[in-house]
Amino acid sequence: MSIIREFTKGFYKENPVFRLALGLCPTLAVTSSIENGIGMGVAVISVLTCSNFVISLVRKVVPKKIRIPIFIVIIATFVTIVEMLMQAYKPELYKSLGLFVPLIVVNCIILGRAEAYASRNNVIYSIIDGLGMGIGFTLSLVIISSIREFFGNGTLYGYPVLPTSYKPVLILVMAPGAFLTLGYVLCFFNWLDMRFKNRN
Amino acid sequence: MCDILKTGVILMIYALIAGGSLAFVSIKTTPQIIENRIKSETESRAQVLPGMDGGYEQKTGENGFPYWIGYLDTERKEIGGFIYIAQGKGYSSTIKSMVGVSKDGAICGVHILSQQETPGLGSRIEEILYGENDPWFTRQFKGKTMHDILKVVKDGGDIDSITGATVSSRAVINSINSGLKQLSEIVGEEL
Repeated sequence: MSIIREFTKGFYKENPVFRLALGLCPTLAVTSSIENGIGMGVAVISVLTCSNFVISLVRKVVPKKIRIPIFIVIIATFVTIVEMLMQAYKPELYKSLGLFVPLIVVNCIILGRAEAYASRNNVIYSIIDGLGMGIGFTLSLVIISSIREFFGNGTLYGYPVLPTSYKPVLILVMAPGAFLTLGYVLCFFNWLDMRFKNRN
Repeated sequence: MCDILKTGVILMIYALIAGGSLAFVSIKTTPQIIENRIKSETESRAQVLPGMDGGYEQKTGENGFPYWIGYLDTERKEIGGFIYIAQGKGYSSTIKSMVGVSKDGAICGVHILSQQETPGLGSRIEEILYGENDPWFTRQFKGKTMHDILKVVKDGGDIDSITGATVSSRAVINSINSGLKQLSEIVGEEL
């Protein structure tokens, strides 16, 4: 088990959104613009790393039967602390991200990694896993949101990139567009995966 | 039975630690959060009704309509304008905005205080275009008076609405309209 492999597995091989199909609800909800996508991604990276760290730390004193409620208590505590700290010391960031922070509690990537990884591995590996998975999640959000923002609004990260004569495909920034884009991107990654496997 | 008790106690210990740390962070951050809110309100007031050297005096009209009087001079004799809070039901949230009105009844500035409209659609009432300093949507209200008919283009007015978010656009316009009417009833003789 190499640290680099643990870190990079979230980028493609075990990408939470495209390969594990975890955390699809926030993915659909926030990807209407790249700015939102990155914001959600950064919030998830910090909460996931912290929760993986603490859960790995206490993994030996958590009885198997009640591990899920304990994990949820730990995750919810972290999310609330992050929200309060942000509100107090980074109000500008809170203004743009505030909506998404409570959404992180229900993000199944966090509980998924706690259950599948942090409760079975040591602290260092768990932190690396949290960072890598968080970055992988952020990358997926950026991919989906750039497609939606480009075609649905004619901008990229707020910069106008298409001529004003271009009529935006509004449906892409609305909820159905999220499903459409996610479906096509998932399809593309599955196709990519099959080609790799055939070649081997 | 013993097992249930044991797991229950363990869960309680975890919850106690979590609750304790939350209480600690909350005590530490609450004063700062309140201070931030007051600061941002002061900044919004200066933004929608600038140039008031005498500051703003908070008043409450009949049926609890909150408004501020802005004074031009530090002795608070010369009234420069008024500020009121407009609230309207948008598509998915209540849109709250602060509106500054000059002494002659023209809108000087509109600032959205809070809204939770659909990201990418209704939330664009706060959108600042690339290379500009203030949101284009609320800028359109500058200079309008209560005698102007505030309506979106679709309804026969001259305010451009947000594409795909007419509900949010109408909500802002209607709340400004009704607030303006209430304000003029209260401070009518001065407008």
